[in-house]
Amino acid sequence: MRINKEVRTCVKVPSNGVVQSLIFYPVLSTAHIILKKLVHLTSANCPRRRPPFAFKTRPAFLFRVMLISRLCRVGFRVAKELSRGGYAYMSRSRYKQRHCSHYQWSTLELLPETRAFQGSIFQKHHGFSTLASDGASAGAMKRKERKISVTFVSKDGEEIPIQVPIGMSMLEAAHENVIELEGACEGSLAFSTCHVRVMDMEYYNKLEDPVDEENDMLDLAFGLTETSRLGCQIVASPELDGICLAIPAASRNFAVDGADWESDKGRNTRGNQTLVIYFYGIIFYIIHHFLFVFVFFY
Amino acid sequence: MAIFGARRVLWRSFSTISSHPLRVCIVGSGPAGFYTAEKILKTHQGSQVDIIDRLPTPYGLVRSGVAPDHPETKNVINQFSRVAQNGRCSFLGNVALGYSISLVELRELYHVVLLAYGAESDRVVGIPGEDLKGVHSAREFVWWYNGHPDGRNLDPDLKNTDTAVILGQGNVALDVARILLRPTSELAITDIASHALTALEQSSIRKVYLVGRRGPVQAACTAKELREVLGIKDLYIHIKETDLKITPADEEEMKNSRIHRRIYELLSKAATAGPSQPSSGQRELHFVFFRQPDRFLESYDKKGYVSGVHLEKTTLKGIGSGKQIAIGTGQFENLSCGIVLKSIGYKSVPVDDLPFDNQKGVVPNVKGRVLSDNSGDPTSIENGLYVCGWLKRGPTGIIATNLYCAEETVASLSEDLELGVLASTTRLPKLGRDGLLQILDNRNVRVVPFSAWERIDKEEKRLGSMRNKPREKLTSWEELLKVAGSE
Repeated sequence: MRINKEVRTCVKVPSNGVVQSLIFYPVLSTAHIILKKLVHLTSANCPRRRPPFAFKTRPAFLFRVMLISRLCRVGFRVAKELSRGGYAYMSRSRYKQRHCSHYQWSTLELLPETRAFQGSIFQKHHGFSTLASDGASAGAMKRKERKISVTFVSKDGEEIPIQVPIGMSMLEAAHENVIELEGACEGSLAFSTCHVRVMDMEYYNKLEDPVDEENDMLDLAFGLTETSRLGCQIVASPELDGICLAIPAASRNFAVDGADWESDKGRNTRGNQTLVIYFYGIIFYIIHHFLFVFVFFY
Repeated sequence: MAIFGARRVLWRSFSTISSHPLRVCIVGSGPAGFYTAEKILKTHQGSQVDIIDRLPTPYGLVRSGVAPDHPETKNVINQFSRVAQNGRCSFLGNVALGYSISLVELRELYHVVLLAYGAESDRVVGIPGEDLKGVHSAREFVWWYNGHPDGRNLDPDLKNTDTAVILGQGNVALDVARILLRPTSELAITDIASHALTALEQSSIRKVYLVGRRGPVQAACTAKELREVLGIKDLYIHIKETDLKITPADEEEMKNSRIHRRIYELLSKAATAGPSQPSSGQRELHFVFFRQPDRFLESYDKKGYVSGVHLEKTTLKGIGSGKQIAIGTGQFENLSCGIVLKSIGYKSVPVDDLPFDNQKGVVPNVKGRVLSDNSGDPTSIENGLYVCGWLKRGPTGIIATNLYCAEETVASLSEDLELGVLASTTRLPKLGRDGLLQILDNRNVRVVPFSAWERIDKEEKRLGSMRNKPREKLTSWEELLKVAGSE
């Protein structure tokens, strides 16, 4: 923890731009190498050649190694956070590797742990404030009574926990969090494209019975199951806290993203972003190991 | 695995830049065309998509097929507009495949040509008298009341009779029945074409018969539409009790299909609820089951006009796998009427140089890739030619069905691009939109771009607001092209 504190104080994290962190990391490493050289030159007691294992017992060396690896992980998380934008929660859930099918998982349990994890690196979120939709984490605990936790499970099995304000339909919530749930009729009960499967029978029974019009639309849904409902008809209420909704196989990747079309930035889909993050991760680890070797042999 | 995935991501992002931008032409701007365009634009960065349509107005059947009293079904137009407004996509209206431009020319101008022009013709019943006056296809009738420029001159005679017979019990049949029976005051505030509204206000039709070959369990409609037609104000519904008897085979069918079970429940409830006799002046809707048309009867007074339908009673026979077909019993009866609307299914129209399966009425294909002949041989694939929508699957399904259809076709396309199957074409730059506009200009074709459609849209809404309607459709080619062309 002592080391962590030092990291927090000495690392001034930029508040935006993966590019900045990419520049920052090599600068720090270079600074570290220069520092090491200075220490080496000024310590008269240390002969040029030393048995290699002696390195490992030196606290200063240990500190430098841990600094590098901590910075690597920091940089990795930075890249992940920033390239995801609003998908902050996905990284946490993936890290945790829990499954909705256990029906015991709850995002509320997750929140303190993720916050502690974040706290171990940074003092506050502000250094890394991503886009607005991430805002829920710190305030979620306080605003629990006005929002509930819902987890969407995509066709690939990916779990996406989100916070939904009470009174909002699941379709709207999905679109606000850029989850790929199609809503062709915009919630007017003319289609069944927002069809979701409630994964837990207990939660399904808590929902009000579907009206005739919803049943008529469910008739036409693809992959209909016993616990299927239309996403536009499930409205968030306190007793639905922790509900898991699975998006069936054929209704994915089609949600229209208004911003995407207006600016045509070609925003990556979730799958592509995962790969981009892996790409960054690989680069950081290569640099990490390269510098480790470099430090070790000099 | 991650590296392979990363390679794919990089390939897709940069492939179009490193080689040439992928140019795609989609023929048909209905749901199939737009869902496919959206998917292609999303999956292939740098691709350019042009959507052409025979009409100056886009959206296909969403505009000209969805009934006027179903405005919420048309909400999907908002999604399609967003696709059309994308910088990499352009809509080119008033360009007819086979007339303004040929398929061969399109395939030369674009890397990929995707056909999604649906079905603009009808299945024929194939019985004598089908060409009598007064026998119309439901498709044309729907075009007529929806203001399609080709349906304007249909001019059905709704004043000479009080009975209409509709062959078929699908959703289109129910739509037509509903439009004929609904109080015109309710229709006056929808976007129904005004010439149709006038004709319906003067219509003398009070009885509508929905005739189906099979029983209530096999009816092809869906619950929402049936519920709607059964709920029309002041309408007398008649269903024969004997028709509602179900056999064990019917029970089996209902067990396997939720839709059919609910349809049957709705029909049996409607048969018993309500009065047993219509009150005078009340409009009537009769569901006639187990009757198939044998021939159309010609009127004695008015030669060449239909005066009734000669129906044969049928019974059901199982043909395995839970399906039952209707076979005639040799007993006949007559049903007199003044107008017959055939709603037995749509059929696609072939174009030159396009392989076509005349029996099924679709283009032979495997997962959207067009095959060179009808043999079903999966190795004889036409490179760079794909199909989507009704032209691929046949005229069934709802708007949302095209979502999954488009996904399948675009998956095939992406696979072909990755495996290099289309490398021979993608390696060369294609003229694409510029080439097409050049050729059309040479032929004096007035292309209607999306901005021109927006002018038409605005004008229709303006005219509609004066009459308390969401829009007043422009129903003739001249009017549409005039407004499109004006600044």
